[in-house]
Amino acid sequence: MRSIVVGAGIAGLALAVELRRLGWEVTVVEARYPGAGNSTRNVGRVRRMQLTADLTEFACRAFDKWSTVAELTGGRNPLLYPTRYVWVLYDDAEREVVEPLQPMWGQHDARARVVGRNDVLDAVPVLRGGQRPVGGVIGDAAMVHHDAALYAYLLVARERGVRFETGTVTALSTADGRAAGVVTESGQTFAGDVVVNAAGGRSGDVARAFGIDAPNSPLRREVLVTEPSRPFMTPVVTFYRPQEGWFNQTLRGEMVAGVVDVDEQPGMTEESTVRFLGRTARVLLEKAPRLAGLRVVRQWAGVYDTTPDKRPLVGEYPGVAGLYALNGWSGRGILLAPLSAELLAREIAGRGRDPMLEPFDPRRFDGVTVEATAPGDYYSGYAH
Amino acid sequence: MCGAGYCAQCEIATPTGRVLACQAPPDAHTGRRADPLRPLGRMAERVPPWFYERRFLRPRRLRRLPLHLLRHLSAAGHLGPAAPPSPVRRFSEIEVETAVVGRQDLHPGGFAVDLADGSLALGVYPDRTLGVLRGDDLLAVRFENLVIATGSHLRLPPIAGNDLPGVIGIDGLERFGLAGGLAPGLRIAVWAAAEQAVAAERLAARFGLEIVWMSDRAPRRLVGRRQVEAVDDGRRTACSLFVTGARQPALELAMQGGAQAALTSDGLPIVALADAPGWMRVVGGAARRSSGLPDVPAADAAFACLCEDVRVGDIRACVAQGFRHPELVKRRTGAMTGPCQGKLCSALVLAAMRDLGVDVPPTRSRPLTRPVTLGELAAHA
Repeated sequence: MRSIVVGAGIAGLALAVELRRLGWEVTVVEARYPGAGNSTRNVGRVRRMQLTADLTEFACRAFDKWSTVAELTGGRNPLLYPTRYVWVLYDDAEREVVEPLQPMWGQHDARARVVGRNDVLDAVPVLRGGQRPVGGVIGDAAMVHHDAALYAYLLVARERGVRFETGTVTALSTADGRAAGVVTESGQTFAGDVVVNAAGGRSGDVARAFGIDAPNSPLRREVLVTEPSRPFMTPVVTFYRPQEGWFNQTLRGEMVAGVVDVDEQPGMTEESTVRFLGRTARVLLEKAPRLAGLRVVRQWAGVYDTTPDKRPLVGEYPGVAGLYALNGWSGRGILLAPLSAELLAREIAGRGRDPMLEPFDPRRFDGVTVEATAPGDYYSGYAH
Repeated sequence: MCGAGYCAQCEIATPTGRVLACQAPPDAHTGRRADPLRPLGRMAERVPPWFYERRFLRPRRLRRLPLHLLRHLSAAGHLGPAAPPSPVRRFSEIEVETAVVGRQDLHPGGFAVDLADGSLALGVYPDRTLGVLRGDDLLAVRFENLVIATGSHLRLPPIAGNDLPGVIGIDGLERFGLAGGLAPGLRIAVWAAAEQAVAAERLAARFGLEIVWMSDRAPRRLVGRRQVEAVDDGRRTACSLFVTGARQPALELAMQGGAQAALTSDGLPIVALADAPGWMRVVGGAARRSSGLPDVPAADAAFACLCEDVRVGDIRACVAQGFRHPELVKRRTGAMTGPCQGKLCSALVLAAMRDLGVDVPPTRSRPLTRPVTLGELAAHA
């Protein structure tokens, strides 16, 4: 059986490798170059703990899947660097949101706990001298070197005979109501029995070109990176007050950081802004003043491929048989893609659908009118 | 090496922390930075490309090696002690008719951004916006027209030994001389042609230096242990400095604004302007279309990227592995991602790839045009 995968990011490549393992022929069609989108525009943070039970359960399995990626890719090392996640709380109201989650985390082995101020400062000493936290959540996490992981999948995909084509996919070809292949901008046609949309931030556009009323909307996130220095912090840090921001030091010693614009509007853009530099530097130094001497060398931007319920789309689209979604990561692509690709490959190969994928069924939005996802406050996005 | 604060090659330790020698006042020079990992570097010089990955990262028994130990094998500096908080800048958006970045004498008038007056252009952003640090302000400057007069900087010579201290550009030589760093009688080798050669001769006369070797043809390699000791072009000529006239136009701002650039094919390749939007004018050294020097084959042992320790041989091994796009080679090797962001090395990396038959569009240029501390950037934005 032949499959067409649209997009050579981490999701598309992981799916290509998993499908080859099940004996399928795979053609990956990429508009730019492998990893041109958000697979290399992220900071490779993966964590077990999430805000809801379904996501936590899936994330814990997805986290464990990462430790098998080296075997899966012929011994290539994705540089999975186990560390801790420190979610710093600056507001008592935040504590009231996270404290009730602790039993759920325990139930799913999320290895996360709510801690006091001193534990946070011990875990992240660079926060000393900055704004006083009220506490935090500390949990198991890891940093993946996204390029190492992406190229591990890319090299093994080539070795195992995955075909790579360059072209911008503009239409779906169908036969008897079933997906039969894709057509590119230059008029090339690639035929397959199954088509998978793994186009990351462009998944919504690809789905709409295929006639699917997709709920995906891209939301920009900006990043800056500093020159390397000796290790000064181990955990990855996130905070949500006064607005969402995060920073961590990579294996290479660089610090990556970003503080989001609370008014950021949905839309496809990979451009950076001047404001971001000023805002990120100011908010970061309010919290960690010792970072003031670090030199920023570059800034870039990518998008979250967001869905209204912040859960991915993994499974068959409604309306066209043989057309599948593997997208909508809502900022968790690196964490979720390897496991989701494995489970979707099994489903495509007729080995049944894993019950854990139920919350991610693309049909859940069928007939539902959805507005473009407004960014809003992090916590409110999960309230139900 | 760049002589202008772009790279980190002249970083030195001082009582107040790390500084770049080229940016520091002369009295800050307290000697070269001590590198305790230097012996490791000597060993690394003898191993083939990807040795480290094959021997240490891929075998199953070593894969679980705690990666945090590897983090400590870093020659980078320490995070300094907490400094007194610097004032947070104002942020404003302003509109101007014409913005001029770089040498004002090349285009008088307009909104001037020039390092010489203490203002810095961070980058060109969408909607004809220039990011600027000036006085107490962080500015987003909307312009109708943009004049880019940012000049040119050193282009890494593609020969073995190009990482030795003592490799210097002609403007670096002048800066060094003005700071009192050149002893009269110092023996220098000069690789330059035409006006660059004349400039080097003039500087040599001014500071009393002895030019012991001069050619527009690059030597085979540079010889030395801790610094340049000789040039070798079949015959060794002892010298203390290797002055290179190979220059790369500073096109970062132009490319961020949408100008097209391409690797030149006459002589020593440089990344030169090919096409610019109607609202952009590139003038002076930045508009240079050719290096003016004959080409020289890149040596495997030559450094392609100094910031990230990538040699030409690594680039070739990477292409042989199937990474046949500059953006992929950049991410696979780390070349062009260090503090200089490819200013010194991108022409060399691209040329090495083109020799292997790869199509080489220059990699995406992103702000910032030079490293800036978080303390300097913090603004009410």
